[in-house]
Amino acid sequence: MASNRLANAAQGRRGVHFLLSDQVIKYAFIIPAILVLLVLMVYPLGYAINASLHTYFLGKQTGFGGLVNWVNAFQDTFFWHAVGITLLYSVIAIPIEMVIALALAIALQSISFRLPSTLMSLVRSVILIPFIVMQVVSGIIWKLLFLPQFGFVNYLFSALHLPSVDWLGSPTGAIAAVIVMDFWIWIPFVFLILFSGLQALPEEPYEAARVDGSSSWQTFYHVTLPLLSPVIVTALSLRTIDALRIFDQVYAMTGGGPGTSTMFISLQLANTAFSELNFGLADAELFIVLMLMYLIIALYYFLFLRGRMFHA
Amino acid sequence: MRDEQQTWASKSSALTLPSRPPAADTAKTLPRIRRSPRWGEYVSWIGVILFLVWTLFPLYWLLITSLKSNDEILRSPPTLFPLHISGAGYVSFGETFGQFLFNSGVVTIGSTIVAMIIGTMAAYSLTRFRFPLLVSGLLWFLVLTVRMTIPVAFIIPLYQILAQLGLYNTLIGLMLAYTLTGLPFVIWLMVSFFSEVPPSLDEAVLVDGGSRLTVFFRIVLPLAAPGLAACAIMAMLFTWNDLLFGLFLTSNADAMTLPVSIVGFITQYATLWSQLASGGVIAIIPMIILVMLIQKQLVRGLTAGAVK
Amino acid sequence: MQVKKLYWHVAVVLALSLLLAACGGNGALGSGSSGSSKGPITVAVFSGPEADAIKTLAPQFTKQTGIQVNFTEYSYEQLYSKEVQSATSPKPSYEIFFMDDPWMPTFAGGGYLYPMDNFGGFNAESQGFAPGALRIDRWPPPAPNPIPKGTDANATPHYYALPTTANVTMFFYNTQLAQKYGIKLQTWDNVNTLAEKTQGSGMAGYVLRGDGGNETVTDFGPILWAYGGEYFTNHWTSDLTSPQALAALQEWLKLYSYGPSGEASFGTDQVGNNMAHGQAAQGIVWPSGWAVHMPSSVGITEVPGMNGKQFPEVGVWSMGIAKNAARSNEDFQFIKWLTAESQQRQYGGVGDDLPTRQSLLLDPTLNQKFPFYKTVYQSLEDSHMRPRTAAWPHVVEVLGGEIVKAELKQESPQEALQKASQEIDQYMTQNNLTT
Repeated sequence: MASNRLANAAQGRRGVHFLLSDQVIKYAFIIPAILVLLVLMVYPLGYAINASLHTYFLGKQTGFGGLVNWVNAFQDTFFWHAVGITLLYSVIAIPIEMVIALALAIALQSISFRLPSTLMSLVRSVILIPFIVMQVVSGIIWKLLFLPQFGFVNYLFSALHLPSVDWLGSPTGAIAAVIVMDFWIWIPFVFLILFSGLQALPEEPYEAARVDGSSSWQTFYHVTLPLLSPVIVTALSLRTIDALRIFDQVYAMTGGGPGTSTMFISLQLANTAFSELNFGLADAELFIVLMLMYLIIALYYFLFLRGRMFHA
Repeated sequence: MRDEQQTWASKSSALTLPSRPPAADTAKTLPRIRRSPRWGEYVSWIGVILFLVWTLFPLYWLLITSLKSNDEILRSPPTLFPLHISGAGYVSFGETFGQFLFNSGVVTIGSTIVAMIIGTMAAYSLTRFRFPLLVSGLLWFLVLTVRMTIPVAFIIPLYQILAQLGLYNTLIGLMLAYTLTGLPFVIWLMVSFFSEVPPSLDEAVLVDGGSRLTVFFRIVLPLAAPGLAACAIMAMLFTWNDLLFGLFLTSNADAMTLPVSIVGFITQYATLWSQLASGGVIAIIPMIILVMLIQKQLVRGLTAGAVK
Repeated sequence: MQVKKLYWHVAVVLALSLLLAACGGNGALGSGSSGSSKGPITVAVFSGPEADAIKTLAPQFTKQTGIQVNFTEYSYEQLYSKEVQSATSPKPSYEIFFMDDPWMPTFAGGGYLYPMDNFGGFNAESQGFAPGALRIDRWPPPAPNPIPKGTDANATPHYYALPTTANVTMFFYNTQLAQKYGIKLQTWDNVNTLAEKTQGSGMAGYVLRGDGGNETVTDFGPILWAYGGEYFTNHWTSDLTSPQALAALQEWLKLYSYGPSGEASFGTDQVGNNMAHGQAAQGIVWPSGWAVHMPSSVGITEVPGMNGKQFPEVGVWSMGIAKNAARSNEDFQFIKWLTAESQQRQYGGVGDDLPTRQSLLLDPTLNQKFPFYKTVYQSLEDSHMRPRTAAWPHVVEVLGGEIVKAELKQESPQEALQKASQEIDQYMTQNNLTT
């Protein structure tokens, strides 16, 4: 077999110095990465565990605190509130984004044959712009649009005879504003993945469906969806990972307000560490966040990916 | 060897997305042979156009805000087109722009290069060799943890360490932080790109007496070059756009990056809307041009691993 | 072939970037840190009109002395934490701190600033600063303010910064309406009455900074004190569960109800604009940055009180020199220059940044241009300071958050004050700040 031949060749090759042999290269190529990750990730996490066992005031260590930070972390209402609204926002925003993105992908797919390829490229580029744009700027754009008296959204509402909403001044309004902004930024991303997936689908099942005389809806439900499901799951996973990290655009648009109604996990944790300068508490809380992430990943794994080869 | 390369090059069209879907794709949601559009198609057209308007209008709003004077911005109801075009915001923003642009640039390029070099090598090794579970498992665990968890979690202890080492508020410190997040991303992406280059090519060279290094540098890398480009572009994009690290790892213009400088215009005290909008426009115009020019690479980068 | 070229290009880019990074790290582009003796001095400032006035003047200083001054701007909360980080680290990011007066306990009390008399025996008291403005830079704080734990009340007081911007909470109101209904705005009951009368006129009766944090708590101070409440007892435990504090919060919520929609997101920006555009009848606004933009229909007076006593709240900005600064003499030169009469007259003449010198606040020419200067001076002299504790930023965070919840009816005022009190007490105990 080829691989046997290869193995023999590798071992018996004349003129290949030991240092260039597969054995060495195999590890030489991988060790820098492991080292970097150990130094930049594992060491800081270890440091964090140690720091979480000390008390801090104004950013300086003031003594050994034992588990006091951990106890405070579990009692920290601000922190758990942050976890709650992050999950709430995710659960509301992500499904809607998936649906709209899928609808858009199918819509574009169905008219794509009427468009010359350059126009198609252009349309895809334009759709992608909100995702590529600096998220800080997106936050600024939507802050402008949602201003109570001078923003466009309420102006539009009044023109359509809808009641004006207190977007940035009420908790529900602010979260709604964050979600609307999220649609603008992230639907392009999901769309792109789903659209590429749609385009890569094989034709035979569609031929068969046509021959069977199934309607558009039936084709969609019985052919498209099942074939697209791995792509949908991947898009969902990627989207979830990024949703829980939300920071830049919220920082720019609301700063976490009004009050603490848009203090998502990233904002709250950053606030504890860099504004309150209570690193002990922050270090304990970040571990809780890490555990939560693992839990969610495990949940996804069991829900969607069990039995399926996860692309890793 | 050259023949193999050429055969592979022609197959590499599989790595790109078809820019014009073959005609048969219309069978996906509509029956074939359609000269006159059905109502479904009208709905699709309307949907796509509405979405494009939804996408472009906020950008238009930013542009006109940047051209209005501060007084005109604070007007109710808002004007849909500036009454007097004023470039004052741009002038004010442009005065301090240079240093932040430089900082962002250095940090982005530096961290991406390091991440690309280390990550590509590791990715190659991971796709071509078998490792004991401890080694590959460890690496994957670290990669996935960084890739999936919230960046703030790493920034907090990293800040404390950098501060102790005197690397707080330095470009080097920032680069280290961005390498931390860039490296797993590169490994993740390059593993999927390398998996698309068949090992048989490697074997062909090795059997002929070439070294593994020759295989890597002369065969595999050039073949994966489009993927490399996509990966580098994506990594640079995320670093360039990032606010979080810049906000907390810098304290003055020595190391402050562009997004941080923009956010500085937002204050509860007296928000300088005109400058803010101008800064926003200046910051995103390169992005928009980028999207138009290298759309293919972006798409590849974004969909890598998601779509086979 | 192409492969070699590819690698060559990559190598060149790599080398160039590393070169750039090395240069950039040393600030070769002219914006170096304050470590080197020939480079500029870095000042951390607040992003607002006060800082703008200083930034405009700085080139004059550079011309006279050859010392370049660079400014790094931050939002209010960020500024505090960045300054603390710089003060407590071995490698400072800023030479000079621009500080709000409630931060003085942290910086002066923590020993992070140079006393002014360190520089050739400079006597801050004999410079002509308005006493109401200068006293906030004194540490230990003057009586009758409670002293934080660990500070010796009998230690010789020093001044640790020089005041640059005179600010004190002032009451802005629509003079035509007050005249129309014949109401003198001396107590909060008067304020309520006028607000009631403006109902239905399209103008909000009262507007306040409802978005929590420092802004809300600062606006709340005068009301709390007017109703006889206090933030802390003399032992530094929270006094917010007293009936007086509850009455004050209820008054706050009443005032909130007279306000326009979206008030829970209002900061200084929105409140000032509402008053300037005639959309609200009354409100507490800072004179610096706002008084000069008010139309003639808006009058400025001392904040209302109760039972014949009024309680304006001082909010002076000062500049101090970090203890870990590398060029303290040159820093002092700058601060001294900036607060000198001729410079203060310059920025005082613009009106956005109020001067802190008594002579200037009472100066007839300036008062002709800005009639509120005299009133501000009077308020400064009558003003109260916020509790002198390094825990204040945390108190503000907690109390502000609870007040917002009460505004949004997520909690009753009792609950809000209860929770705030508990949290503050826990913080004070855990950080060993109670006596």
